[in-house]
Amino acid sequence: MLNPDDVAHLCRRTGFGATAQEVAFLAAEYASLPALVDALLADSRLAAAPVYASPPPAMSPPACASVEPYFETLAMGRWVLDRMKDARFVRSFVTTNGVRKKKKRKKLLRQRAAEEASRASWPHPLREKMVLFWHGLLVSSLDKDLVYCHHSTLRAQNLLFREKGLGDFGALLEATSVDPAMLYYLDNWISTKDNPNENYARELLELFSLGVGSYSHADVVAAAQAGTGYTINPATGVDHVFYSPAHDYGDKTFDARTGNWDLVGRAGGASSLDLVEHLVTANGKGQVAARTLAKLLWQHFAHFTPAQSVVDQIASAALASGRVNVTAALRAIFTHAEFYGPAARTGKLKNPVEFVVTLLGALNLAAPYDAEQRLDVVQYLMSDMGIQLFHQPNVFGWWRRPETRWISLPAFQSKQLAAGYLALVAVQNAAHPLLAWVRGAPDSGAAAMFSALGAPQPAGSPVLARAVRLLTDLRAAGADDATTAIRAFQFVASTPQVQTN
Amino acid sequence: MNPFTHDVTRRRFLQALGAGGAAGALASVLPDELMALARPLPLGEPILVSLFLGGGLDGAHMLVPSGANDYGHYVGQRGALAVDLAATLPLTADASLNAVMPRLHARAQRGEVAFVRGVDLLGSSGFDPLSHFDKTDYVMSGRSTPGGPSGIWARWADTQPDNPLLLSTVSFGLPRMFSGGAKPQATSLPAALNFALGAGSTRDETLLAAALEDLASDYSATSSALDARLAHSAKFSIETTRELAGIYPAAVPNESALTRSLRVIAALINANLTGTRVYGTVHGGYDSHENQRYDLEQKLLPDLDASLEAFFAALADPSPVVVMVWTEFGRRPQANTSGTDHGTCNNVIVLGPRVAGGVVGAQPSFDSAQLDANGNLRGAIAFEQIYAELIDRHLGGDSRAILGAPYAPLHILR
Repeated sequence: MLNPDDVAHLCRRTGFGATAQEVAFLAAEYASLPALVDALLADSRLAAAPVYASPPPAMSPPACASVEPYFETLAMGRWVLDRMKDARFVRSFVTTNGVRKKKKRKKLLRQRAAEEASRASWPHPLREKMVLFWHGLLVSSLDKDLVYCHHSTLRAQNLLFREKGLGDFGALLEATSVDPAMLYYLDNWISTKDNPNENYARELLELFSLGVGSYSHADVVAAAQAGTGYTINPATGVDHVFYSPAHDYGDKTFDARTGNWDLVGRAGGASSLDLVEHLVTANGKGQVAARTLAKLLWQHFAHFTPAQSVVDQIASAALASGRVNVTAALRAIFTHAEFYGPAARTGKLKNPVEFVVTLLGALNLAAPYDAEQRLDVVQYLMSDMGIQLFHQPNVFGWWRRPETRWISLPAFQSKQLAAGYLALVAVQNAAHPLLAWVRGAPDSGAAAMFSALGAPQPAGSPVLARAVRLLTDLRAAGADDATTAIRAFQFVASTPQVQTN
Repeated sequence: MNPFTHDVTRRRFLQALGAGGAAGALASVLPDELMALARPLPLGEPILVSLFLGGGLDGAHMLVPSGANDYGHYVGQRGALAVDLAATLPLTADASLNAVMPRLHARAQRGEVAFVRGVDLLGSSGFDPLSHFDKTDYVMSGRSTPGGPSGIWARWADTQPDNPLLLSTVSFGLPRMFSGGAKPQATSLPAALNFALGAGSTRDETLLAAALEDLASDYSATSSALDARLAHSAKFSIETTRELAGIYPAAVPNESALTRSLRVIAALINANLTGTRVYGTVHGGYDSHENQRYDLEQKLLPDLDASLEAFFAALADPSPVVVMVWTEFGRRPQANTSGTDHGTCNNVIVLGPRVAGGVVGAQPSFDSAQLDANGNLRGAIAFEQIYAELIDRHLGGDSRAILGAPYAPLHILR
């Protein structure tokens, strides 16, 4: 029997939280945290290409003057939020733990497998979390004209992160390097041997793999030359194509080695050197890339200030196969003692996406949209929280600064408004549990809200007492059910217990 | 009557101390002294607005090197991307402003704009000068050598009386220039205040606000723990919102984000409630690797021109206000297809009634023979000189102590 607190912590960090039932099941079913982590990573949904019960929304053909790219990308954002909200670790509660008879155990396993297979389209929390991680790291943003004109490339990029976000980092980096959204966002589509453009080459080295201090300006220039010719198919505007006349087949010196460097090794030149491959393999710059990635992943999943020794341990696990592997890094993080230690336990604020997904989950709402007014209030508010999906402010992304920057007046205001708006949407349904909670006794109503928001409070908790008092005061002031529900939900959503992860 | 009664403000500032997290330094200050924090700025107290254009605006596309010798080299490097002199408005014998900025040109003609050319981090090392983020960090820290992460205005604020709103930014998050000080003196304000918990709110809103404010009493005001910071931030946010709600300007349809944030800053200056001495706002989109002419001439420079004009027009009294417009670096002299890669030095624009206008500093040469090893311009004026000028001749303070060394005056402020 595992410590349920450890299991709940793991589920909050690797996903978007878990219900009490899920936590109890996982705690009872697995003998050790490594066994649980292995089981989560071995989930059949992660091994296969993702299955979508509802496909990502369709997008119009390229158009620059229209407002549709904006609204269709908002729709994509809602699809992403809904998947996160629907993500579940546990697809079957059939337990085999403690069943000794082989036959019986086999039967149970078959039953569980059947249930799990029937739920293959349930989103896996870790996959959703990793899509968000890459979205905030390997940045392409709608807030650039050519991306806006070709906004369906952002949809495609999001699906790419779903398919390649775990496992071999090289495969992801190679696909991203020629991904149309990235080709537009960092201008590589326009880079030719006569006019190499350094934008992608620089960020590939500085932000996506090595980090400042591990490359020179000459390396940036060489990488830009190596990337020439990887461009967009002009016939469609949204597909990658390699155009050999624009590629520089000459010798370039990268990382002190002179040869025919080629960004992703598809140019077909004589004895070419694959640059992205060099970045991710142990006999190239893999050690550096592994450390960069290990630190970013640790910061994303555990806490912001890992000791170098911890980073080195994660990096070495990531590189154990000779190539940087994302899943190996994650396994090392989730099984690390410090992941369950005090710094990791108390040092994490929910990022704006996690916060909004928590609200949607608590109220069991799909991300709302007012089609008549074309209004997506929640995603609008998210920009003031610090993250608006598909609108990264620049290539620096979202994860490289301490998340305490998300504690601010603008963020507080927009989180309040989002909680109030979603509660307002919820109470339009007269049968919504939120109304039932405030109609009952204040203490059980307040407790139900904390539990729904993933922060169950023990009896006697001071913050629970404050919520009870607010419910009582609202009633005494004559507030109706809906108003009481909205204000109480805003309060509970704003407590540190719900804001932290 | 000033709505900022002593009682309200005292309570507000006492609580606000907890909001920044590193309140320990202030814990020893007596409450009576804290009351003094509420004082609005005395008439004419100098104010700085730092407008950061992230991405690296091409300074030469804005202030064209039109001197007889310079222009040929500039055209030689930029080719078709070079600005035609016919599309510029002359300022001096060797500098002309892009004609898409007529309002800034008119202000310059009135002697209220200093264009400082060739500004860079000089003699610095230990960072990547062509990285947006490394360079921004270093420039915002105001130190040429690696020396701690604190920002230039955070260090200046450490020398000033306590006020959690002394440095206020109207854009998301605190920029490095406001971060890392010993005292919590910086706040991020939104471009629009929507949280209706001010005067005139309904009874249920008042109860919610009171409950949220009370959360802070469960946590130490001096704790840097995440939960304590969140609880105190809630209280600070509500109290600040309540007091500022009435002064935020109404939204204008189709207003640019840049104009909006500058108009909010103007309204805050006019209201004189917060005691803010340095305002910041950060905007992006200036990284013109491609499509430079269209982006700059059709969108970004006209927006900057209109926004600066709207800002000064909105100020009740512009006389104490100096605006610094800057960007982390300029662009590579040699153009690529339709844009330019990352470069080095750039222009810094300082404007306001107190400014001794003109074009300051030599135009860095676009002559290939004069460029650095990476093909970039060579700057001759240090960012620290701008900071020293703003501290010594405007805000007040000891620039030598804050910057760690003396810097030659530029004489761009009267």
